Amino acid sequence: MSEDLLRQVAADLNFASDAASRVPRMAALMADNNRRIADVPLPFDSTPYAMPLWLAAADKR
Amino acid sequence: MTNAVAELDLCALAAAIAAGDVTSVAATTVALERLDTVGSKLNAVVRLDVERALRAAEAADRQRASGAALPPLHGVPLAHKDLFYRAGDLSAGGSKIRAGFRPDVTATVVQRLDASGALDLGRLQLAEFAMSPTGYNEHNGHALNPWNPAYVPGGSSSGSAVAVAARLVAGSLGTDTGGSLRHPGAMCGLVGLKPTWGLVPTDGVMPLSASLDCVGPLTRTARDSARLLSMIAGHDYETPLKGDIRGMAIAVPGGYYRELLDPGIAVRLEQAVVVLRKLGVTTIETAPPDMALINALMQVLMSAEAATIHRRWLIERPQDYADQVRARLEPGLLYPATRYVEALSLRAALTQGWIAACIGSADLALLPAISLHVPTVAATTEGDPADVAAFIGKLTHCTRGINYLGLPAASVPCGFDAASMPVAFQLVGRPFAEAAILRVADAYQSATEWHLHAPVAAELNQTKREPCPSSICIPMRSASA
Repeated sequence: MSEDLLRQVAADLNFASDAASRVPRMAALMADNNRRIADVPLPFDSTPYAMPLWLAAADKR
Repeated sequence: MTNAVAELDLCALAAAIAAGDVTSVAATTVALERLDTVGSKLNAVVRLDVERALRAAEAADRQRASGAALPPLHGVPLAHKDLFYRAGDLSAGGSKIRAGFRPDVTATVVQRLDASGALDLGRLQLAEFAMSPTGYNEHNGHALNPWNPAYVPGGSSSGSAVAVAARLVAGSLGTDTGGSLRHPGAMCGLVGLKPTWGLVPTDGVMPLSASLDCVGPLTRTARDSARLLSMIAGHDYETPLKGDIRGMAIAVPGGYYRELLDPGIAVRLEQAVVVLRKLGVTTIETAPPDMALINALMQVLMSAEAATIHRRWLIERPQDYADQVRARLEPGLLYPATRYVEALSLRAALTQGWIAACIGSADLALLPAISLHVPTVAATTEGDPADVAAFIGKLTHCTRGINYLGLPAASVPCGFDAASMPVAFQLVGRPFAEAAILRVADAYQSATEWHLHAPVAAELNQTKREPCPSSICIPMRSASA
C-alpha cells in the first residue's frame, strides 16, 4: 500500500491524525508483512476458528 | 533467619511452612522487608499491600495451628506483574494512561492462587502495557537486572523476574505475548514458562493481544514452575517430574534459529545438549520452515489486536505512550482486515507444519531463548530509534513466532557469559506438552547447578555462583546418572 493511502486510513478511518504523520516509519514493515501474507494461498474452506478447534482436539489432559 | 528463608525456593518454602519450620508471618515479613529494601533498589516493585499480607499470614498460621488440611501453597508469600487484577486494587499495567485504574473484577488466576493458599503481597514492575522484550518503561524507569544493573532485565515481565532472581519472592506470575516470560527468565537466570495458548485463563489480566496472550510462572526451578502451573491451570504438573528422562528425544532445529546466534551463546547451548545426552536423551537435527512468514503473521495479529484496544488512547493521548511502545502499536491501525483474518486462518496449519519440521519425531525442540548476550540498558535506549528498534527486534528472534504457533515453551538457565550474565536455552513442545517440558527442565536442573546461583544484588552474602566465562566449565551434579 502506498504511504498516502496508509495516511488516509490512519487519519480518515481510524481518526488518528498523529499516526498518519508517522506513517513513513511503519510503511516498510507493513508492506513487507502484507506481501508475505498475501503470497500464501489460503484454502477457500478456511476459518479463523481453526486454531481453537485444533487445540481443543489436541487437549488430551 | 532472613537469608535462610529468602534462599528457599517455592516448593521448599511451602514445605517449611507446612511443616511448621517457618511461620507464614516470618516468611511474609522477610519477603516484605526484602521487597521494600532490595526490591526498591532494583526498581522491581510497584506497590505492596503490607497490612493485608500480614493479616493473611497470621490467618494462615492460625489455620495451620488448628490442624486443618493445608492447600499446596499454604501461607507462601508471592507478588505478581502489575497487570493481574484484584477487584478494587490499582492496576496500571506499567502505563501512565492507566495510573488510576481500579478493576472491579479479580483475575481467575489470582483467585486460583488464593484458593491454593498463596498470599498476595502486591504488584511488580513491567514494561509499559507489557510491550517490550527488554522491560523498557519510560514512565516508571527500568527495573534493574540483579546480575548487573547496567543490563536490561528482560520484559515485559521484568519486575517478576527481578524479584524472583533476587530472592525477594519465590515465584511470580507474568504474561507472555511475544516472549515476555521467556525473555526475563533467560536474562535473569530463571525458568519462565509460557503455557499452551488457552491453557491458563486470561480473564482479569490486562490484555495486549487476545490471540497470543498467555499467563505463566517465573521461578527458579522447573519444579516450582510445575507447582505454580498446577495451581493456575487446575491440573497436576508436579507428580510427573520423576527425574528420569531416558528415552526422550529432543530436536535441535538449525537454519533460522542459528542465524543470529552469538558464538558464546552457542557454546552454552551445546553444553546443555551434552548434559541432556548424558541424562539419556537422544537428539536429532531438524530444519525450521519459513519463519519470516510466521513472524509477519504474529506481528499482524499482535498489532491489530493491540491497536484495537488502544485506538482511542492512541488518538486522544498519543503523548502518554513512550515512543517505542506507540511505534509497535500504530501499525495495527493500518493492516487490512483480510490480513488479520488470514493470520488467524493460517495458524493451525502453519503450527502443524512447524511441529513436523522442527520437532519431527522428537518430544521437544531445543532452541536458543535469546540469540544474543543480554544487552545493556544503553544499547536498547540510546542512538537512532530505527537502529534501536532493529536491535530490540533481534531479541525476540526465537520467541515471538512461538506465540503465533500457540505452543508451550520455557526458558531454562544454562550458564553465564563472559560478562557474567545469564544464558538460557528454550524448550518448545507440542500443544499441552507442558509436562514434558518441565520434566526435561527438572532433570537438567537436577544435573546442574546454574539455578542455585544467586546474584550479588540479592544481598544474601552467599557466593554460590562462579562467573565461569570458560567454554568448558559445566557445573554438574550427577549428569552421569
